Formats: sequence, C-alpha cells, structure tokens
Amino acid sequence: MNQTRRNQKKRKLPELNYTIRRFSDYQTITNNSRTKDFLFINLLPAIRDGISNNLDQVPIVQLRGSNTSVILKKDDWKTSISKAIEFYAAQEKYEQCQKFKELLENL
Amino acid sequence: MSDFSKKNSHEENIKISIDKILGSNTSLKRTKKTAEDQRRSLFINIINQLQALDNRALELHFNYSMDMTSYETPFFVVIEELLDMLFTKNQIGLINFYLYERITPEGFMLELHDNGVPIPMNNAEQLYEAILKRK
Repeated sequence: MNQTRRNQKKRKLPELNYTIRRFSDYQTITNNSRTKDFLFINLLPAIRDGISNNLDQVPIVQLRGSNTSVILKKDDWKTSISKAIEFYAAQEKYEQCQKFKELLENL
Repeated sequence: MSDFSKKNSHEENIKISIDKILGSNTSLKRTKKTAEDQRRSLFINIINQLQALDNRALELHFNYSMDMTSYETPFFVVIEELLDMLFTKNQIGLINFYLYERITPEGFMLELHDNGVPIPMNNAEQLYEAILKRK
C-alpha cells in the first residue's frame, strides 16, 4: 500500500490568483467566465486523478500567495461535473462538455 | 451555501466563490511549503511590490507633479543591494529588465530573446522561471 502511494505521481496543483481591490470583487470574479473556465479545466484532471487512485477527496487548485489548497469531496464530484457541463454547454464548447460527460459515466 | 462576508478571511471568501462556481461545498487545507516554494513566493511578492512602488512613484509624478526620487532612492538602493547579494549579475539584468525596461514609456512591451527564442516574462512567476534558467 505504502509502495503504491509512493509510486503515484503527485499532480502539480495549479495556482488560483484572486486580485481583490474591493469587497464586491469577490462576486465579480465569481461571475467571470475566465474564473469558471480555470476552475472547471482543473476539475477535470483532479477528478480523473481521484478516480484512478480511488481517492475520497481531491485538491482542485492552490490559492496563490497562501499555502492553502481547495479540496472537493467525492460526494460532490457529480454536482461539480454537472455544473461544468452546464457552463460549457452555455458557452457552446461541446468538446469540453463531452469530456465531462465521459468523466460522469466513469463515476 | 454561505455568502461573502467582510468578517471572513480572504481565503474563506475565495472558498465561497469557488463553492458557488462548483455548486459544492469545498474545504480548505493548509499545505506545507517547501523551501523552494517559500523562495519562489517571496520573490514573486517582492517583485510585485517593487512594481507597485514604481507605479506609485510614476502616478505621483504624472498626476501631482511630485518628484519623490530623492526620498525614494535610498530605499531602492537598499533593495537593489539586497538583490545583488542573492542573485548573479545575469539574473539581476533580467530583474531590472522586467521592472524598468520591459514596458516602454509609450506602453509597448519589449521581449528578450535567448538564441532567437523569446523569454516569456509577462509576470513575476515567469520572471522567476527565467532567472532559474540563467545563472
């Protein structure tokens, strides 16, 4: 078991950078499609990693300038994948949609 | 799902933002930084702060005709001498290019090339990568 864990290649966590100048920026950044795209793009390898290594939770991103990572529990993977499909469908990025649908089928 | 609050820490509000996007309740986990991570993070903060200081001086000059050069010079000399202690001449060259020469007064962005290949230097992270490759 320990040997297996040692052999697993650790995914390098991407850094999420939120530049906040005023309090309302939190909502603005949340609504920004670039923020959503960044998170969903990184959700894909994170959950794939979780599935192949049979993990109960996965780190999605690391917060820049702080030694903190954002963790998503297995129970929430489906909901987040559905959100990603919803987002990419609205953007008419059907290839991305398909990748998430395949991931959903593997759960 | 909770909402943004001024009482929350920055990290907690970012978590709420991520929760809203993912539609799920994430959690935050503190991770240990390696010495290299620490060094990288410090370097990036220092460079970003130096850039902010320089911009502030320019703003004072252009908006209020205030010339802070004689007041600021000793601080910049100290910072530059500290950088001299930590980095080689070549690396200092890159840092100075990034901070003071990369963007021309007309607002154009200049590129440095290494054997004809552009060295990406759009942010402090890329500058750090560049100085690691140049000893």
